[in-house]
Amino acid sequence: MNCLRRFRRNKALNFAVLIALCFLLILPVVAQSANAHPSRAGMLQEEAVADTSAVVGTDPLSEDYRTVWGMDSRVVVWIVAELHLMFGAFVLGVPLFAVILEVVAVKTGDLRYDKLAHEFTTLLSAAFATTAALGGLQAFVLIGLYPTFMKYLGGVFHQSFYIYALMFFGEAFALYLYYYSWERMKNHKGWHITLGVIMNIFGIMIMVIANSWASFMMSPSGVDPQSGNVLSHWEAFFNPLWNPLNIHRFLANITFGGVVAAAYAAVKFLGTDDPDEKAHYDWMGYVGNFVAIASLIFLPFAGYYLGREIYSFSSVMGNNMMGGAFSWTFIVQAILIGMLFIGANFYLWSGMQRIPGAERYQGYIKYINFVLLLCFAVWLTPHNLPLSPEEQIVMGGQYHPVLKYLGLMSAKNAAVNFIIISTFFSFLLYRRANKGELWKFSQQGNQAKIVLAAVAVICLGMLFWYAEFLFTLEPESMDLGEEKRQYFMFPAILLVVQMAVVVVGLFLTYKDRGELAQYICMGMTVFSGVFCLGVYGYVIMTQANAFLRNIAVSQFMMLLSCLIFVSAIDIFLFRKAKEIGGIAWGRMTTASQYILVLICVSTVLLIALMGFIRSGLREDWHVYGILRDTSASAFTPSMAYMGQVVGLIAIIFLGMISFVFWLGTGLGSKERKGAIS
Amino acid sequence: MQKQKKPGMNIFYKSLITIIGIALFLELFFPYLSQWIAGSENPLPVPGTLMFMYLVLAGIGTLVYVASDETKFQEFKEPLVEMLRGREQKEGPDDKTHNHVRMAILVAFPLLVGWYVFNQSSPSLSAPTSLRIQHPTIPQTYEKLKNPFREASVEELEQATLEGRVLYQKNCRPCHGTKAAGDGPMARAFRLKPANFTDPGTIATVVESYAFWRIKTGAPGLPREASPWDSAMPVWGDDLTDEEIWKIILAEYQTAGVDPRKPEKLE
Repeated sequence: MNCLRRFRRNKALNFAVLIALCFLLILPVVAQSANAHPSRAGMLQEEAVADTSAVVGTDPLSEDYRTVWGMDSRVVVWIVAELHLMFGAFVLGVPLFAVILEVVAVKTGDLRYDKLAHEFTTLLSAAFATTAALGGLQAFVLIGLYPTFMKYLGGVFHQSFYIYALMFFGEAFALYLYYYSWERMKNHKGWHITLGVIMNIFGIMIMVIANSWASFMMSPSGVDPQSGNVLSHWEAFFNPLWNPLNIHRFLANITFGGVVAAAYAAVKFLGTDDPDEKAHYDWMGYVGNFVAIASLIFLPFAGYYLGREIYSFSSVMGNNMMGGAFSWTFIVQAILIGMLFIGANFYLWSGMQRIPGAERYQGYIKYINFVLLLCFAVWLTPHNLPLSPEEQIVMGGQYHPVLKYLGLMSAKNAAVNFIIISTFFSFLLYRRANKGELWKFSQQGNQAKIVLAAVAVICLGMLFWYAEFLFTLEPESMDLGEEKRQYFMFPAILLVVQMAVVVVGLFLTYKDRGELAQYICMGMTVFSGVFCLGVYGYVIMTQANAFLRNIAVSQFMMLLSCLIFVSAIDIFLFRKAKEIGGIAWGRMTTASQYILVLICVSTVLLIALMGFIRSGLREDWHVYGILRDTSASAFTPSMAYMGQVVGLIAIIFLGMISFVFWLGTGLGSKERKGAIS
Repeated sequence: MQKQKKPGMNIFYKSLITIIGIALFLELFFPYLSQWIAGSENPLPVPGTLMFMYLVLAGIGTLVYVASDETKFQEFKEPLVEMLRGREQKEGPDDKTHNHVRMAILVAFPLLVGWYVFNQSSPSLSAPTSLRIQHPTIPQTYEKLKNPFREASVEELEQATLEGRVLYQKNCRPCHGTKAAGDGPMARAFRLKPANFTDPGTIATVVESYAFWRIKTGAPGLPREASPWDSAMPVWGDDLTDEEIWKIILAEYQTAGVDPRKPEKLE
């Protein structure tokens, strides 16, 4: 009863139910209008009259495009879709780590994790209603402003619309149950965690269904390329870019949830003088940032996979992305990602100041900083530079004869790997900052040995799998001649070397030289993955270009095995190590909290920018190669125009989420405090 | 007896020296290093845009390093605060000199900034720095084209490449050079030099149909954002048949010693 009363009091969640109901009502309308599958010929005919129909605008059935209150339809859809995506990313990302935190709380018995998971879920319930409202608004504006396009999309996907709505209900109800049963089920944590897992399953289903619509627009399949008629709904759903987009968004959602939660904690930290609250929000900011960085580390690889698959589907879109009209947006992207990584490292280094014993590792910071800056210099250097005519004359062309090499993909991949490993190193220093005398690994018993050996076997298996793949790879499968086989050997051999490094690392750890094992493993990964394969990439670019993606995967395998194995050693190495002193939570610098906010703002800008790039790559196509955009807004926006809209979206989102959090927690907490007093 | 540790230089000055050192390295040393690496006839300076980016990055890096440690940051701020507010204890013998230097800097700094702004914004006779798109979008009509000779027998492919080499030397060599290094006898006449095909960032990064489009439609076929007015590439479609262009493509990749990018397969 108490639970029910609380449910009735929570206006945000009631609103979410209302929106969900409205959403379910909209979808059949879309689907109904989509029942008649428009043929390509029909569409072309409509395209021909698009301009005139838009001007006359008397017959709603013949309108392809509409405007609302004189606003640019594309900008309206652009803003609403991005806002919906950002709120969606938050409400899909946060449940994932809320449940993980709850599991950690149960496993460790540390109730702080449980409290934190509950606090994250509080933010979630407040943001859920807005996400739903924006979803409804997006459906409305799409139906209203782009009726022909929605008719076509509905014709292809209307079955999945219903499933989507049902999943939405599922997630909403699972969320209510999860949130409101927190107290009631505190003695049945297993069941409560199961509820959380169910909530996440619904959330992921929602994401993958919506992803299929977005990816279909870029890489349509299951439809006749000439007429646009649907041949297979399944094939349309499982289109080529669907899975790469799923992986990328899944990781990005976790990062996004983490940075928004960390920024929330930072604002709370800055706004309170209470030492206990300061300590709590300092810790919350740390956890949010940790979660964000843990998933951010893998995002460049997921992005690379998505990019390669875009190129594979259409070299026009691929060229457009990295070398064409969108290439300069990637320089902006590099700046924003640079801010994320530098910000994350800065946060860790600042955090070390409140850890007794950290002064032993301060000396490393300048070297890590130097490596990070060097890598970002490489990452920022474009292949094709903006040059003055005088500079062109001195250099004898459009390219700087030396610096041009830094603009190629091989250099970028090497730089990203080095950045990730440097950030990981910062994290290791943070972790061991207050640790004194270690508990020898040889004395930790058989369980530790077995677990570490199992981790090593997983890493070895991963490396062996890919090395074996490269050793047996047929050049013909890549349309390469037999003579190109020789180029596959070098990365394969480096993978075998990496396997040897893991074995040596395991042996050294068993002999109580775990730290040395970590340094060897990380050093060799830098040597092989960054330097050797970074340089070798240039050879591959000219001799067997199609193999370049395998070089990137080899680098990823080396890095991943290093991260997993070194982390595992670290856990055992510093488990039960004597502490020099406890972390002084709450004594974090003010600058570090502003950095958390900056990281959040950068991520919001980054998501808005990447959303623009992904969608903009289609240029003047609603559905690439199938349904052309004949509206007046079909042009590719300039950098300045894009910057204005992306900036506006970021401002609106940050304003909205701040308001929603204030409603959900700030206002609520004041009410509660008032009631208590 | 314990040795007294000498107070070191303030971190602000260390940071300043680091940034000036980086600027001097990029300005004075790097051009000669590049000349040596590239085997160029003249030093190769770092372009202005890159110099700006690198120095901003160096500034950010220094600030990040200093600000990550509260003690260092306080030390870093000292000279700045002193510069703006003046010394708090005005008893030292060199106080007068210090004050003169301070005033000189406070006057000179805004003047320097003003001079820079004036210099940047005043009209000049030189053409503006252009932002060029490297690989403009290939029209979809060209995207799916394939070199017909790649499907032919080995003998036919060799014959076509041989003919392509003759066609290349006859039509392309004057600008792109005998060895496709962008250094033909006419290359020096152009402001934007002809592409160097041996560079891994040029034809090796594009599929053959892209090269076909560029040869067939030349500079006038480039979209507006790729600044077609910068390129002197003729419209070879007016003088050569499609078959001849495909043969030239075979030859130019072979001459440059690079492979065309293969259309990739979805995984």
